[in-house]
Amino acid sequence: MIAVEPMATAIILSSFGLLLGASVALSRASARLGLPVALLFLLVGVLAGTEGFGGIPFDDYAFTFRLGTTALALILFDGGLNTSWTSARSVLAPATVLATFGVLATAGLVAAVAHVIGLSWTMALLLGAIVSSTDAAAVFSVLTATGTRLRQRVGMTLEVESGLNDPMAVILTTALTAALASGHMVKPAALAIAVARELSVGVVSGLTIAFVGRWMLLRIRLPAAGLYPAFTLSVACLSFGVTTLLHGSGFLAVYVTGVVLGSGTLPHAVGIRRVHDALGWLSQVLMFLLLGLLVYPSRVWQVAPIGVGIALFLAVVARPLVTAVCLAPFRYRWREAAYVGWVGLRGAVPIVLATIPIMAGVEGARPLFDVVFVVVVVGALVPGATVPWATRVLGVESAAPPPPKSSVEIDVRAPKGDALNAYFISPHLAVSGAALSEIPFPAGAAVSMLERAGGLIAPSGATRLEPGDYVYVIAPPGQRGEVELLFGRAEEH
Amino acid sequence: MELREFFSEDAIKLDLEGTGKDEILKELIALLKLDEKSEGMLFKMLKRRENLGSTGIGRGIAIPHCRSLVVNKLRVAFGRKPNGVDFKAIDEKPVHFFFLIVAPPLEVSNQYLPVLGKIAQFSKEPDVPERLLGLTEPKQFLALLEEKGV
Repeated sequence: MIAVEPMATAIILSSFGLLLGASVALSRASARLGLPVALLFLLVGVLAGTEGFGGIPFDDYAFTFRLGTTALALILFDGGLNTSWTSARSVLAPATVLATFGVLATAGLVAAVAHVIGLSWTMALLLGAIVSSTDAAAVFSVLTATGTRLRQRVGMTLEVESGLNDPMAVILTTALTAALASGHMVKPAALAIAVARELSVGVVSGLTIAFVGRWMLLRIRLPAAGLYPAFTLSVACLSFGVTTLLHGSGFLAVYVTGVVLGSGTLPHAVGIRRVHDALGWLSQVLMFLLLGLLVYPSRVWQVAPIGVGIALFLAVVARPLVTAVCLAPFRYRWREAAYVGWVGLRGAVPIVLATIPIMAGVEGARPLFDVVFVVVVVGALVPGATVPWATRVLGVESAAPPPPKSSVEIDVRAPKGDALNAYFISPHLAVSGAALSEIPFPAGAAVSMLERAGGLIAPSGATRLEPGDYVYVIAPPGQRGEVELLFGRAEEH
Repeated sequence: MELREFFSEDAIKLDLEGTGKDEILKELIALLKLDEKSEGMLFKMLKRRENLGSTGIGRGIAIPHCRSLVVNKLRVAFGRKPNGVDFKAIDEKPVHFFFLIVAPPLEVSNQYLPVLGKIAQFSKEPDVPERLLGLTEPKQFLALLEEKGV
C-alpha cells in the first residue's frame, strides 16, 4: 500500500519519533550497564531494522554515508567548541602523533592479522584503515554516566586524539577503496603526498574560516539570539564543505574551526554552545539509529568469529602497543599510556567509513561492513564496559571535586570580557572559612551566588565560605589572576 | 597595618638560584629559617595550594601562600629570580618575583587575607615589576614598600 500525503509524512515522523524517543529513554540505561550510550542507539536501530521487530526495510548506504558524514561534522564541531585551546595545547603533540602515526600503525597491525586470516593485502589494509580511528565521545559517555572524572592530561589526550584522527582514517579508506575499485595498487609516495595535502589544507582552511566567522559574528548584529547558533552552524558547514572542495580534510577543518570559535569570545556563547550540544546529540542518535538499520543480524552472525578476533586483537594488542610507542617520547606515566591504550574505543566513524567501499562497488565490501560492525560493538563492549574499572585501577581518576550541580552563565550579545566562573572552595584556599566581607576582592569582582550541599544561597557580607562550597564569582576582564589567587582555578564549563 | 611591618631583611633574597617551581618554593621556605621537618610540612602545604591553580598572577609575580602549624604568627618572605622560572602563571610567562605568605591555622589578628590582598594590590602598581628588577639590596625592597604606602 502506498500512503498518500500527508499520511506518508505522518508515518515517517511517527516512526522517527518513536525511535528517537526510545533511544533517548534508553540512554539512561547506559549508566547502569556502564556501556557507551551510542551502543544502545545502535541496538535500537538493529531492533527496528529489516530483521528486527520493527521490520523497517532500509539499505540505502549512500544516504547513510551522507547523513553520517554530516552528523560526524556536527559532532566534531561541537567537540571542538568544548575543547579549551589552553588545555588542548599541552597535549597537541602526543595527540597528533597518535592521530597520524598511531592510526597508520594500528591500521598496519590490524591489516597484518586480517591478511593472515585470509584477506588480500589491499582488503586487509582497508579493514585496518576503517577501524583505526577512535571516538572519545564513547569513552566520555561512560565516564559522565558513572560520574567519573579523568585527570586532565589523560582526558585531553583522548579527546584531542579522537578529534584529529578521523581525517587520517578517512584519507586511507578513500585511497584504498579507489585502489580496489580501479584495480591499481596504492602508491605509498602518492598517498603520503595526499595525506600531507589533506591535513595541511584542512588546518589552514579550518583556521581561516574560523577567524573570518568569528570576525563576522562579533560585528554583525542579528535581530534574534536564536540566529547566532544558525550562523555558527553555517560556519561549520562551510568549514567542512569548502575545505573538502579544496581537497583538504573537512573533518579536520571543522574540528579546528570549532576549537578556534570555542576558545574565543563569542556573542550569545551560552546559546550557541547549547544548540550545538543538542545538535551533536541528535547527530549521534540519528547516525547510530541509521547505522543500526543497515545491519542484518543473520549476516553479522556469519562473520562474528572474524570480527570478534579482530576486535580483541585491536583492543588487547594493537591499540595498547601503538599507544605505548607513540606516547613514549612524551613522558606519560605507564598507567596513563596504558589507560589511553585500553580505552581507545571505536565509535560511528568505522561504520560510516565501511559504507564507502560498498558505494564504490568493491567486491567483498558487504561482509567487510558486517565485520566492522562486530569490531565496533565488541570494542565498545569489552574495553567500554571496563572504563570505570580501568579508571580506578590505573589511578587516572581526577582528584578534582565533582562539578557544581547548578549552572549559571552569562549570555550577552556584545561580550566585554566580564567572566562569571564557578570555584570550588578547598580547605587549602586562603578564603576557606572567611566571611565574604573579609575577602580582598579585586575592583569590580564579587561573589554572585553560592552553592552549598546542592542548595543555592544568595550571599551577603556575613556569609562564610565553607570547604565544599561552590561560589560563582563575577569579575571584569584583567582580574582573573587576582581572582584565581583567592579562589584557585575556575571550573571549566 | 602596612606590609613593611611583616618583612625583614633576612627574609629577602634577590638572587634565587632555583630553576623550577619546587626548587624556588624550597628556597623561599628556607628564608623563614624553620627546622627541616617544618620545612617539609610547609612545602607540602604550599604544593597543595599550587595544585588548586598557580599563584602566579601574571606580570612576573607569584604569591605562594598557605596556612600551616609550623608558624605561630604570620610570616612572609620575598625572593627574586632575574631570569625568571616557569611557575605555570596565569599569563604563562616566567615569574621573577615571589612573595611567600604563611599563616598559622588560627589567627587572632586575622592578618592573612589583608596581607594577601595588599601584596596583590602592590603587585598591580604599573612600575613595581621594573622597580623590583632594579633592586640591588634588601633594604631597597623595604623602602619600596614604604614608598608605595601599602
